[in-house]
Amino acid sequence: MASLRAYVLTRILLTIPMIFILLTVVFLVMRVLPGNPVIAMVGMKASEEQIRQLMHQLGLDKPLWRQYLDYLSKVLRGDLGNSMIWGRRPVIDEIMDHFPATIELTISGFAVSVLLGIVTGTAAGLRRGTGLDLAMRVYSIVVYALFIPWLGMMLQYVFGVKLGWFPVGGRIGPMMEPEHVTGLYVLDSILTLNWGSLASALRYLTLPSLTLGVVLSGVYTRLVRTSLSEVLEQDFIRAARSRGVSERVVLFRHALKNAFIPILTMMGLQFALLLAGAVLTETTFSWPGMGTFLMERIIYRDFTTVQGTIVFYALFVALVSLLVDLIYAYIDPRIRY
Amino acid sequence: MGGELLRIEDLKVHYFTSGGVVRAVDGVDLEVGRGELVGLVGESGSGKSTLGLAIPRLIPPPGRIVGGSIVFDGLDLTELSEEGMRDIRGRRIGMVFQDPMTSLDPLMKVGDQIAETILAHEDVSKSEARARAEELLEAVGIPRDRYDDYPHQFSGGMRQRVMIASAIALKPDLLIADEPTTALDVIVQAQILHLFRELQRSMGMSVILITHDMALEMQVADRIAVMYGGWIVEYSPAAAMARNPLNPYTAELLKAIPNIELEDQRLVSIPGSPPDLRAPPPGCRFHPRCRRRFEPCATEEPPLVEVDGRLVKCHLYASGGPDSAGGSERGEGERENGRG
Repeated sequence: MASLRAYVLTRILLTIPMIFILLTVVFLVMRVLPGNPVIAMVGMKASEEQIRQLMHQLGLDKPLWRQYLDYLSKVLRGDLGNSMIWGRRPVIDEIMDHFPATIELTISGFAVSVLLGIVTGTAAGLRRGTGLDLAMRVYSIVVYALFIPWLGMMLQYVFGVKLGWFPVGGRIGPMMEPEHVTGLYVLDSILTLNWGSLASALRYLTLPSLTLGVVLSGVYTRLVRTSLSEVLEQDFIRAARSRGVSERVVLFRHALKNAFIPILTMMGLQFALLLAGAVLTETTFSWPGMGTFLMERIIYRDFTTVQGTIVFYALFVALVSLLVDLIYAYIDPRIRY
Repeated sequence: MGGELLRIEDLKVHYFTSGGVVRAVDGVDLEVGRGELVGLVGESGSGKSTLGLAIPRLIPPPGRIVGGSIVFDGLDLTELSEEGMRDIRGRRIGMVFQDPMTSLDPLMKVGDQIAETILAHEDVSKSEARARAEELLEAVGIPRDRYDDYPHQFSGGMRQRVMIASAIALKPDLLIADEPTTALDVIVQAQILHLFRELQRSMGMSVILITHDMALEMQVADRIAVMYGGWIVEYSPAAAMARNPLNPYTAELLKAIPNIELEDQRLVSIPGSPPDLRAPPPGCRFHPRCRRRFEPCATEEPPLVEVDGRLVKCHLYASGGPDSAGGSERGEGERENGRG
C-alpha cells in the first residue's frame, strides 16, 4: 500500500508541469491569433484614445512577459478574468452556470458508450468468427462513422416527433428544475428527493446521451472484442477453469477485468473527445451547456470568456487523465511499481 | 493406495484446424492406479499435453474429444455434463501448468487464487477460505503473510508453488502436472519435484506428470507412459523400462539422456523429425525413424501387446513379429543391421 501512495503522489506532482505547459500554450496561442480583441470589444468606430484606455485597463499595454506572469497568477487563483460583454461577469461564474449541464450530458453519454461498447464487444469477443461477431464489427464501424447531429436528428424524429416518447430539446421540463446543489439535475433531484424532477431530467437526458453514447461506443466495441479474445487465450484463464470455477466467474472476475486495462486507457483518451462531441450534441438538442454557450460567445467575440473556457477545459481534461491513471493503479498492481 | 483410479480407453482428441485435422491423441489407452505417480513422456507435439488437458475436458477449440472413454473413479468423464465436469475440476482433479509466469491472474492476489478453488466448490465464508489458503501457502513453503502479494512480486518457483497449492487445495484424487518444472531453473526444478513427491505421498494422490524429460521421469515416476505421434507406444514400470526398454523409441529416448559419468559425452539425438499429425505416416508412426523396422511397420498399425505385465505398441512383439516363434529370417536380419 505504501507503494500505491508513492505512485499517487508522483502522479499528482507530474500533473503540475503538465498544467504549466498547458497554460503557457493557451497564452501563446491567444496572443498569436490575428485580430485585436479591444477593437472587437468597442467596435471599429472607437477613437484611438478609447482603445488605448481600454488596453491599459485590460493590461494589454504591458510587456508580454508581464502579461504572462499576471495571467499565470490570476489563473492559479481561479480568476479567469471577466467577460467582455453582458455586465462583465467573472468568466468562472459564467462557466459554472453552464458546465454542470455539459458534465451531466458527458457523463451519461460516456456511460452509454462504455456500456454499449462492453456489451457488444463482449458478445463479439466470446463468439469470434460467428455471424454475431460480424454484426458487432459492422455496428462498430457504422456508428463510428455517424455524424452526431445527423444521428441526433434521426432520434429526434423517430422518438420525439413520431413516437412522442422523449422531448427533442432542452434540459428539463418547465418549472421542474430541482433545488441547486451541484448543478447536475439528476444528482440534485436525487439529493433533494425530488422524484418528479428526476423523471423529467432523465427524459430530457435520454436522446442526447444516446446520440453521444452510440457514436462513441464503436471504438469500445472493437477494443473490448480484441482485448477480451486475447485475454481468453491466456494460460491463467485455463488455470481458473481447471479450478472448477464457473464460466461466469471466469468471464467477470478474470477475463473482463484483465481486458479492461487497455479499455481504461481508451476511456481517458476518449473523454476529451467526448467533451468535443458534447458541443455538437448540445447544439442539436438545444442543451444549455458549454457547447451552446461557447458558440454564442465566439460569435460575440467575447475574447476573455473563450480563453477562460479553453483554460478551464484543459485543466479539466488534465484532471480526468489524472483520475484515469489513479484508477489504473488501483486495478493493476503492476503499475504501482 | 491400490486399485484403479483412472482408465482411459481408445481416446481420440482431434484439432479441426483450417490446415486439416490434427490427430493429437489418436487411440490412447492408459490406466492410473490410486496413489500412483505416472510419468507421461514424449517429444513436443507427441500429444502428451493434449492428453493431459483432455482428462479434465479442457481442450481448447478447435480441439474436441472425438472418441473413447475416460473413466475416473467409475465415472465416464466424456459423458458428464459441463456442470458435472466443473464439479470434478479443482475438487477431484487438480492441474498444474507449464508456465507459472502466465498461469496466475496478474490482477489477483496470489492467496485469492488459492482460495478460489475452495470457494468454487465449498460453501464456506471468505475468511475461512482465506485461512485455509494461508495454510496451503505454508504447506508449499511460502510464508502466509504473502497472501496479499500479487504474482509479479513472486519468482517463477514461488509462482509454481502457488499453482500447486491451488491445485491441491481440496486434496484431489488426481493431480495432472503439465511440464511443471520446464520453465524453472535446475535447482528450483528439484525443489518443486521434491515438493510434488512429498505432497503426493502425504495425501495419497495419484499424479500424472507430463514432461519431455525422460531423466526426470526416471527419478520420480512409478510407471512411465511414452507417447509418440498421438499414441502411447510403451507403458512400463520405471525401473523395468530403464533396464529393458521394449519399444525402440523408448530405447532411443533413454540413450538420449546425457550422462556426465560416461567418458563419451556426445549428445545423442534421434534422427528424423516427429510425424505431422495432420497426415501421419501409414503403419507405425515411428517407422520412418526406427532402426528396427521390418516388413509390416510401414503398412500396418502395430497392435498394443502385453509383455510381462508391460504394454508396448510395436510389431516386434506382435505374434508373427520377428521375436515370436516362427519369426521371419528377414526380420532378424533387419534387426541385426539396425544394431550395427
